[in-house]
Amino acid sequence: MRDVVITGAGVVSALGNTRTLFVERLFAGRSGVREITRFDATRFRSRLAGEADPAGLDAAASGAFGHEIARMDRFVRYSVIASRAACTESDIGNGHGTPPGGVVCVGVGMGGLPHIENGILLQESQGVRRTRPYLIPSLIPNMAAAMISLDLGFEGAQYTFSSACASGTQALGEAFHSIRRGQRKWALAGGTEAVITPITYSGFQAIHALSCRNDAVTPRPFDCGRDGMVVGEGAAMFVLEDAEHAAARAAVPLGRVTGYATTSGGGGITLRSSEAAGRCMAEALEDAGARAEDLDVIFAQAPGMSHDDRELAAIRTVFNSTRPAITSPEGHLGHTFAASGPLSLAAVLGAFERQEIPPTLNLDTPDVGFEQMDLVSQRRASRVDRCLINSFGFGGINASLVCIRS
Amino acid sequence: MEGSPLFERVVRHIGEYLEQDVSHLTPASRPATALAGLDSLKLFEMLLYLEDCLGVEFDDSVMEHMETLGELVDYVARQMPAVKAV
Repeated sequence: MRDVVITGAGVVSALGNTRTLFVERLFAGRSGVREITRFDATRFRSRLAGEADPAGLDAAASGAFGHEIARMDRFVRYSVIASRAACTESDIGNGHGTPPGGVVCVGVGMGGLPHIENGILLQESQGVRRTRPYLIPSLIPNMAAAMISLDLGFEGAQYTFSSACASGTQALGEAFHSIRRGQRKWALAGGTEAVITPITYSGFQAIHALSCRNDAVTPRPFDCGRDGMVVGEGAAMFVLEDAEHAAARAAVPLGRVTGYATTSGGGGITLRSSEAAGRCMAEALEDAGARAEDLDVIFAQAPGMSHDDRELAAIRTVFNSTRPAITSPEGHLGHTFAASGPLSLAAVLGAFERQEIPPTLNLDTPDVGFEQMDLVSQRRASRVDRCLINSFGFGGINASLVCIRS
Repeated sequence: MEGSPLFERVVRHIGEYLEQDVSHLTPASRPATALAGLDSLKLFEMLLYLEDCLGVEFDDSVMEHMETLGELVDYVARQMPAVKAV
């Protein structure tokens, strides 16, 4: 089995569009959640969003396929920006083609929902013939991996993972496994999501999933006063690499991926199963050859919804008395769906570098019954050598990733 | 036709849409080969752009008049009866 290192990372997020800004603001406890600017949200009970920082986003529409990228929905543009940054940091595939043996793996949950909605509105208000020729290519989920590949001149295999909020973590995990078993030398992997559009708010409002507080202290992961998620968006892409391949070209490892598992099983489409989530974490640890007591920090999904407690129950079962620190970036960002696991990985790399744990924003009073768990509500200096990332998606899809410091 | 107001206008709008120098275009130019990177998506979007700019509506037969730029301009002229192509 091959060792797998991370040699580059790129981020688009509500906290900024470089990995440095993202990490600085995450650890500083800054919130990226604000009033929605993209549409009039007064008719919805939730009027907040974690909109991506607009700085630098126009730069996506450049290069040989700039014309096409400009017409893509946001999830594609974000993924292209994040991929370019990851490749730049890794010094792989920048203007001189990509080395052989690579794979592109991108997780996308809902694809181009904004363009679907706008396309329908345009068709119904102005007629069929006003539908834009780029409508279909702009919204199909595989177009993130496709435009990344075209933009880089990448000629290897590309895959799109669509497994709701577990999409990005599955993309990372499957890329990791393919390198570890020697099938690939390197991968560009991660997740992207951008669905801040009215129909998203209608859909989640219909299932009472959104926070209605509309104040400056929501969402509230693990807090007893949590009342739902805030819609977030973003992308995080990483260059994963066979350690020897990276060393041969003097690429600097930012961290290592050592374990991954994905499981199915839930109490329904939305009802999270603690048993299945716990089984996923345990299998990821086993895949990493790690014990529960080896783990320092869990980067939980925890969007601030009622079922956050299911994740805590699962953690308690798996980790029993070892009490790893638990944090979640979703209080800063809102729920970023397919991008949530990859954005947690960007946070993990920051934790490795800083030897600190970022705070769980807006966590004041832990949920009843979980007071004895080590929920990190304030930024904390700590040894951070081994982390686990959790992602859970609609339909009972679970994915966990284990990473260690280089 | 080359130098006619409608030809020059169509070429100007094609250049605007593609954001590239199209001064090499003549009535004999074949859009499929003379315009770099013109795939079907760009072509159909360009036709919508020309519709907007020229205030006309193309029907489905427009694709039968795309062999050369001259044919396209003749087709456009027929959609704009008040304008003469030459």
